[in-house]
Amino acid sequence: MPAASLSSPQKARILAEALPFIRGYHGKTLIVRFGGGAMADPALKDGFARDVALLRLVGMNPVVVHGGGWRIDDLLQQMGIESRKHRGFRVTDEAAMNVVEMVLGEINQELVGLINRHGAKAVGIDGQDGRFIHARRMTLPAVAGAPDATDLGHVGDVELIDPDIVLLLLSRGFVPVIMPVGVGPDGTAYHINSDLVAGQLARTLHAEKLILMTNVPGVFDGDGKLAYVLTASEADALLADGTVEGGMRTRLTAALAAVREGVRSVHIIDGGVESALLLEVLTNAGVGTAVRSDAGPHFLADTRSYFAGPAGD
Amino acid sequence: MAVTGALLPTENIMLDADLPGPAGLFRAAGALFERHCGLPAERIAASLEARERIGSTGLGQGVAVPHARIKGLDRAVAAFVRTRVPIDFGAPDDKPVSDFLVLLVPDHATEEHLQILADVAARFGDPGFRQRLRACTVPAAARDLFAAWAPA
Repeated sequence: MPAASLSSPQKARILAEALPFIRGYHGKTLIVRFGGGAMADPALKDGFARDVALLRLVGMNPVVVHGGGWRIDDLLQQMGIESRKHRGFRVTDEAAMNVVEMVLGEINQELVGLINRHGAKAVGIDGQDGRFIHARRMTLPAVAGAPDATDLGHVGDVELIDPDIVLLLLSRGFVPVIMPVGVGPDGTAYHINSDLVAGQLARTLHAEKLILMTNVPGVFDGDGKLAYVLTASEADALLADGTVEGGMRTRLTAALAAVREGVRSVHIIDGGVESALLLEVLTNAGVGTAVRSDAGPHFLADTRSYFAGPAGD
Repeated sequence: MAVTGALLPTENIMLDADLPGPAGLFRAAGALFERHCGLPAERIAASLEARERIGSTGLGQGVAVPHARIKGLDRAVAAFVRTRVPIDFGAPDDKPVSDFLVLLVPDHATEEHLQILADVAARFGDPGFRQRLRACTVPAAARDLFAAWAPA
């Protein structure tokens, strides 16, 4: 609903309703992965930057990790560099890696600029800065249907995150904007999937919330229905039986690892929804899939055993 | 079984209540049931609280369905409470809750009662329903909405 169509009491009500959320997340660290189609839409991108600035200005500690998405593919194609993908990962030779770094750097500075324009202070960093992301070369193991292990070139996985630089920036009120490039022990730069970086960062920082923004409504279950909440074992099952494939597979795996290591709240949300980030953080409307640990309530099962239990008073 | 006037009388609907937390909600629900159904408020609040200790009845998306078995009750009865400010209710999506459908069932709860809860959960799973419910400003409108809902 565009703000202009709301009456003043409605606007006031919306602001008042955000208060408990603002209070709850004050001083808390939120890791937000921005990627997908929203990055190609100037209005959504600007809206995202405004939302991040707003969260910072009301006292939360947002950290942005962004992908490169379609722009990498577009530029590779324009430059006539062949780009293949294996199970959602791009095979990246040296020429392709130069393009990846160029595109990521450009997106990074765009986001920093936009967040700054909305009144927060953003700082762009990559894994090289402060030796922040230690990477290792990623090889996709052989699986049924793809019998050879695949070398992906300059594609890496997170070996370790040294969060000092991020903590330093947060301690002074800056919004870190992170491009997903890590460095191997020999100084080689690796492009790392941004969901993996965001997930690992959330685990290392014991973040309150991990939000992975994508360009689909969320995770779909075996019946093709959008899952609003997934327990860890439900998510495991969707990964094991191959229901979730491609980029979402990596995303859900990152989400699951974060949940298992105690990140309290992990959400995979639709970045194509206007103000998706604000809706996720400041309201109880759901704009995607929440992944949670197996511990905790199981509504109907709990009720069934409660109804079957001994008579109460 | 539909959530009709017999199950959810207009008098049991309270919109925009100022309740600080779960305990306040259970007390408010208990008071509603005492006033309109002649049930003892304190015992109801305690029973709701006891069921909640097994696991949150939050469904996510700001909705919960607290419920309890009540000795001496001969048929199910419901109340709907909407809080002005959402309260922390241990919901599975970790989001605070503002819309509560409270259900009391006889001590010998049956599959039929479980069905009411499943039906209410399905209803709340419909984003259109949630939106229309939140737009209701008077209890009668909320009652009509509950009575009119049909699964898509």
